[in-house]
Amino acid sequence: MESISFKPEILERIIPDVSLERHLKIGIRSNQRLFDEFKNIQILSQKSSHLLTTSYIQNGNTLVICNISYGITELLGGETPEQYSSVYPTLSISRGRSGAPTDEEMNLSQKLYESTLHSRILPSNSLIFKPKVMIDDNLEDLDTNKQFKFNLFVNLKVFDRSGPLFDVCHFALVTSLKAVKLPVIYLNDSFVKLSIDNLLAYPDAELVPLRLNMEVPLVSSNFGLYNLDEKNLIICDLENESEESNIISKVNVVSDGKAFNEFTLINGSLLNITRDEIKSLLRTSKQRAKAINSV
Amino acid sequence: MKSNDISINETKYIIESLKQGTRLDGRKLDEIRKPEVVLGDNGYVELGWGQTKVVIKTSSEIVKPFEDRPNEGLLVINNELSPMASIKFDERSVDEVMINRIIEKSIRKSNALDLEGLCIKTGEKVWLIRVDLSIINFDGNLIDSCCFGSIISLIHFKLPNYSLDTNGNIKVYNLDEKPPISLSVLHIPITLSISFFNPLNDEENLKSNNNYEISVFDATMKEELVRDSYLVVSVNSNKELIQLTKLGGIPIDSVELVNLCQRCYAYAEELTELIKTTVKRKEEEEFKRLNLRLLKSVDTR
Amino acid sequence: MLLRTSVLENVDGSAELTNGRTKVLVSVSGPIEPKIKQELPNLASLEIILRPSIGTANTRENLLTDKLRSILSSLIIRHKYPRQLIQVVVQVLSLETDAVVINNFENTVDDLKVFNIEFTDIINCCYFALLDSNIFLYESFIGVSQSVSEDKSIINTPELSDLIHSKSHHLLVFSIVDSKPSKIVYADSKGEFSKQELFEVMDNGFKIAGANFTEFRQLVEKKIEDDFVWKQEA
Repeated sequence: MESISFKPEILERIIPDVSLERHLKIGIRSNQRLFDEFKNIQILSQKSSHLLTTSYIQNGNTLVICNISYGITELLGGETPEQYSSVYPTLSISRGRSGAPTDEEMNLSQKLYESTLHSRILPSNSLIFKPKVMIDDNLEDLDTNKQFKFNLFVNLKVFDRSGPLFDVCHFALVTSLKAVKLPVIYLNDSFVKLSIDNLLAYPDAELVPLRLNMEVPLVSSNFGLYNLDEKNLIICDLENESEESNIISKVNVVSDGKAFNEFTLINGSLLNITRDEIKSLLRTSKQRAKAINSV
Repeated sequence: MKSNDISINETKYIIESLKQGTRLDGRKLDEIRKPEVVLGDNGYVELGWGQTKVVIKTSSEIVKPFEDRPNEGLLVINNELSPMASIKFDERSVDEVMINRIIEKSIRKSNALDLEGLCIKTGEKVWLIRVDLSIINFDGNLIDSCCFGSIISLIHFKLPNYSLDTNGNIKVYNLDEKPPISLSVLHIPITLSISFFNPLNDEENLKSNNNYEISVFDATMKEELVRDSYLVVSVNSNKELIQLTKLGGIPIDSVELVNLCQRCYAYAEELTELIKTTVKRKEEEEFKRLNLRLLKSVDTR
Repeated sequence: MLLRTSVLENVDGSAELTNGRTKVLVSVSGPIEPKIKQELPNLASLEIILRPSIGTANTRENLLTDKLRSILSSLIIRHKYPRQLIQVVVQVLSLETDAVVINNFENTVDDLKVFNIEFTDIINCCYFALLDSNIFLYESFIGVSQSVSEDKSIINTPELSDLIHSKSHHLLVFSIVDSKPSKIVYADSKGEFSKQELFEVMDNGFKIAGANFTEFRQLVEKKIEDDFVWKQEA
């Protein structure tokens, strides 16, 4: 009987686990990157107006378009109990399908929401404001106890997905937040009732950059841990189906280059993960955050 | 795996015993299972209706009212069946829609809860009261148990106290800052379902003048699997009929309906009394607890 | 902590766990017939349904379900039940955040909820429900939660007020072998922390997990004693 041989690309499609193991055994990855090599990540362009902030982010072949817009809500009571707020992300991954959001899309947006809140980068009082009032073409302070708050809506669109998306979406969100500028909100007529329906954004006034509790952008990095010959291999920045679905012990670290804001570990294949391995992951993510922020 | 099917033998056995006026659990045909009510924190109720177990929780939040009803609060009753209660609830079933519709009819549409009393500021802020039902174990008669549980939970629930300042800002008080307020429940609807069994064949039932159907109160899961039709009646202790539902199945003697309703009134009185005493006992316990806490704080000074 | 097992009739295993103001009920049915789209040729598929105490499940519950799935699917011996389904239903009955009075923002309660204060209780309750259902597990497991306050002290099983004032909070799940914590199955740390703090939390978590598991073990021993009646009559 003749043995059938497949090209590497085809083998990766039909038996991804075998393909992955064979690649790793000879010390290469199917995406030609080194084990400790991350995909390049960069901001292609960024602009902001009084209505919208848009960034184009490229990560390997993946393109993410991030739009940040805002809405206004009235606060129910007086002071604010919590110090930090979050954004409201919606995310869609272009796959040539339409319909209800997939689990991946929902989970990613929820992760971004939780991450922004718990990283404490967005102080609530940078979003709270009192509207001005237009009197004879001049903006003047309005005498009121009512307080309003901007809600930031983040819309992410992902093209050419090739691996886990949290890193690139997080990067897109954080760098776009840095660029957000908020407009002056005013009541168009001092005789109408002060309610959300009567508030407008003033296009000619100078925009105020959003105040963040973040000196340099936070950077998220992901790693996979794979057991090969009784040793754990650390593989940075997973890509392709074969790595994503067969390396099920994963770590995600968010760092600003000094401290850490997030550490998540899912040990799907119940590996013995040593302290040194965790240390090296933390070190790599710190270095990567520093490198990205120094560009 | 535990099954929810019933064999032909078992079906026959149930019907034969009903013909002789006995049921598998020893109850009389017109006897309901005695509900066991455990009240927890504000609005939290654990109800055992035989082996059917439901956890009911009432909560509140401040929302904007609907534009066509600017001075009315909202009441939302949320009930989803999960496979925890029984494997047969794996997919959204007809039962779920049916239960929700009857709870709607007997509680919300009968104005059991005074919605205008929930208005904080006309057109801007009203209370939304939500009742969440979790059915955790199923042994028949979800309709009666869910309706009963919802109304106890509403009576047991207390809304946080609040004040409005001149600018229309609301301050909501914690439960220990200012005593909370009970909801105004205008009447207590009690829902009871009656299952009908045809001891003879279908032809006999339709053509003859005799009406031999057996009517059974508060069916268990097995009885529900065997029954030929059912009737749901909601009444209150003022002997008022609130709603009546019978969706096809075998026809029943219309004169019999009045007798069944009479029996329902008796149960309504019994169950209303049970609700009142249970809630009262809980309130007294709470009162004692709070009183003791007050005494303690005086003591430490 | 209060635990009751085998509380439900129509499922294969169940457990109810009360811990402070959190009360969780977990049921396990399995192995059962899967739907065709769930069926896996060489493994059991895992269906997890999580229902919150108030309202319907939304994205927060969706993400929690996803985390729970990745934890449980690594611990259940899934190849023992090929082409079958294991169904886990988590019903949160009450939660500390339920009683929080909404005073200011619409989103305050949502923001408090994402501390996922019930997470470790769900994990631990799942453990007992899985034991009760006799599903094969590779290793036992236990979840612990910790927070680090502004003065850098570690608080074990923090309450909501501790979390609000904390600098970082950490959820850890350890697998247990021979009554001792063995591997980290899951870690979720958020807030602001240094490498050193992270390791301190892990070490402390390891210790707490060991201590708490002795309590779990007693509960399991008692359960076995109660459930199996092949003892000789005295």
